[in-house]
Amino acid sequence: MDAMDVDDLKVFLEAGVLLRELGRYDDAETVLRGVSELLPDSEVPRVLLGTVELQRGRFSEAQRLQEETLSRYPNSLYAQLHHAEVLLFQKKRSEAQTELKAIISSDPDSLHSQTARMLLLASDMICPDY
Amino acid sequence: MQDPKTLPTSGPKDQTSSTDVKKGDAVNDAKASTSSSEQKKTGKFGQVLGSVLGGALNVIAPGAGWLIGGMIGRGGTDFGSMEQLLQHSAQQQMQMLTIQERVQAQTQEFTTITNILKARHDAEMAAINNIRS
Repeated sequence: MDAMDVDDLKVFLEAGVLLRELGRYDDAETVLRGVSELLPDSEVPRVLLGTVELQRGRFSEAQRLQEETLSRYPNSLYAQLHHAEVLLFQKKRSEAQTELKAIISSDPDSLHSQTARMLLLASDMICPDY
Repeated sequence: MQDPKTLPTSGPKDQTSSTDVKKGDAVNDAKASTSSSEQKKTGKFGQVLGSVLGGALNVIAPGAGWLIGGMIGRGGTDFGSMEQLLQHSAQQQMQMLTIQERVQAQTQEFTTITNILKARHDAEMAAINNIRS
């Protein structure tokens, strides 16, 4: 079997994202697990698997996956962002906000920083501070 | 069979007495019956007019139309019920303001969620496109 091209794997990753947005979580998980085996050096499919668990509502499992990914790729802003996101949904507001602010300060112009800003603005909605 | 309500009341045509007293009584009776029938017509007309005008005014100023329409329908002001009407109108306006505030808050929440989803999607696509072989 010929090795798959990286561009083909990117298409599979996008397919996994689409399946997640369609609510087809089992199919999304299958696709993303396959790509993570074929891309062992990339954190992207692993982070995406964590987002699938988050959207399923399995916050503890999502946190476990994101922490595992973050431990392997500690410098990845993408992994840090989605780890902070799952902390918000786990009602760990102060930890999440600390991580989000660190992401913004490390690279203020990146797309990950923009997402981090949006998540900070939505902190009250996701994790109200009573 | 004729509707009893439309039967004419005693009027000048039925009076045949030639004395002044009886004639005066007949004239007074005629005036009284005419004025009472006119009042009935006015009252009913006033009610209809009041309801129509009140409905139209409610489009412009909610609550005010009901107030003014009620005044016309009753043929005048009734201070006891007018206070109740004013109070009801104020309550309705407060409820409207509350609803408006809730709609604004909901709109803001929708905007925030939309912004998050868009930023999240852009970041994911950027991360996927940055994967190197």
